[in-house]
Amino acid sequence: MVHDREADWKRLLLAARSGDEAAYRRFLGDVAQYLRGWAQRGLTRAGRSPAEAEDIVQETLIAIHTKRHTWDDGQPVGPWLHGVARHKLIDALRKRTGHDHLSVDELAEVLPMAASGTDLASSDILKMVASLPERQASIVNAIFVEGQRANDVAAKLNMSEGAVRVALHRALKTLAATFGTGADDAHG
Amino acid sequence: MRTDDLINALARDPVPALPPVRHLILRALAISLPVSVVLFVATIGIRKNLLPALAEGWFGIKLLLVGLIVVAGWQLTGSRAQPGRNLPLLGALAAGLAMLTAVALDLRIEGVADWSERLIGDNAAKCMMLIPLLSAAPLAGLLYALRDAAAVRPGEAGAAAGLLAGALGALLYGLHCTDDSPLFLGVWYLASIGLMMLLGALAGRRLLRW
Repeated sequence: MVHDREADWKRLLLAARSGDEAAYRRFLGDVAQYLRGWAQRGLTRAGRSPAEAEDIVQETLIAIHTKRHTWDDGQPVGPWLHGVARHKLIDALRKRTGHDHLSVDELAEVLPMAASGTDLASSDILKMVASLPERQASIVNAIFVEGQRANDVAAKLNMSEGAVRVALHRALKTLAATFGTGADDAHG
Repeated sequence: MRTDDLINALARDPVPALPPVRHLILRALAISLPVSVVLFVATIGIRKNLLPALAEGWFGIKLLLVGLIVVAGWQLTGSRAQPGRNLPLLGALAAGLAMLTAVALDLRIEGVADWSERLIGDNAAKCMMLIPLLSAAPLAGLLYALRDAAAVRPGEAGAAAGLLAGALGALLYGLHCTDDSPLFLGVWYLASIGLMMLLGALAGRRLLRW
């Protein structure tokens, strides 16, 4: 599947380079759809509302457009695209974070990795999650494993959304500490 | 704004407005390196008895070693200026290994007795001053050009540009300098290049955001 997408994107982007507007429109449309899901997952994992995803999709599309010359046609499109998208997502979160407790480094760790196919919810992590305090564990499960939104979880647990985020943040910190430097390995 | 409208607007302009990043880098060097060359020729210039020095060996090895650092800097700058690239460590590894081999050779051939003399050399202060001076224009040119690239980690891209610029400055200075020992090279040349990397990293963090 990933292969097909890579081949499609490459073909479309090469056609765009030689002036094919229709191919470029299709490329951007495909990418927008792909990024939407990607950004929603990233936001959810960072404990933020997936409703912000569309802004990030648009900012990323603009960045892809203005930086489209930085893709070398000898290179795969996927890693390049994810590089731009991660950059824009982190940037967007940083800009909107304000008083939020999550640091950019932590966000970067939680963000979905490029086409790795591994989910955070692998069995090792589930074991670690189970060792968390009960409330934190249920929040992590709801958001990471079941993919629920932070505000839904808040309503269900009768907490404020901010409290859910703080709890999620603490849980992530505990998990990161348990992982130590091995956290990167879990991604892929 | 609706995303579909945005896509329609962007799609009208499919052809990239800028050349590939390696062209941007080459163009920056083509403009900035002559500034350093003119500066070099007008001030210190190439050393006398260049050919006999080449025949002696260490001078040529010095230029080769610095040349390898130029290659490493070129590879790293290109990769750090574009999203989704792996870190190309082969050039840096080759340069590092060659450096260590040369130091070992120096100690074996020239002897261990007066190693500190070769290390301190005759022109350490001059070297530390002139390499950065000769690297300044290329670093400025590279940083300016990389603003049009897309460095995901601006500090790293700046450091890579500093490595490339510093190595080019060192190559020029190496044509003048008569301290040819790899020991001298390993300390003073590398320190000067390291300084350019530091400057590049600091400037890159400010200039290369996008």
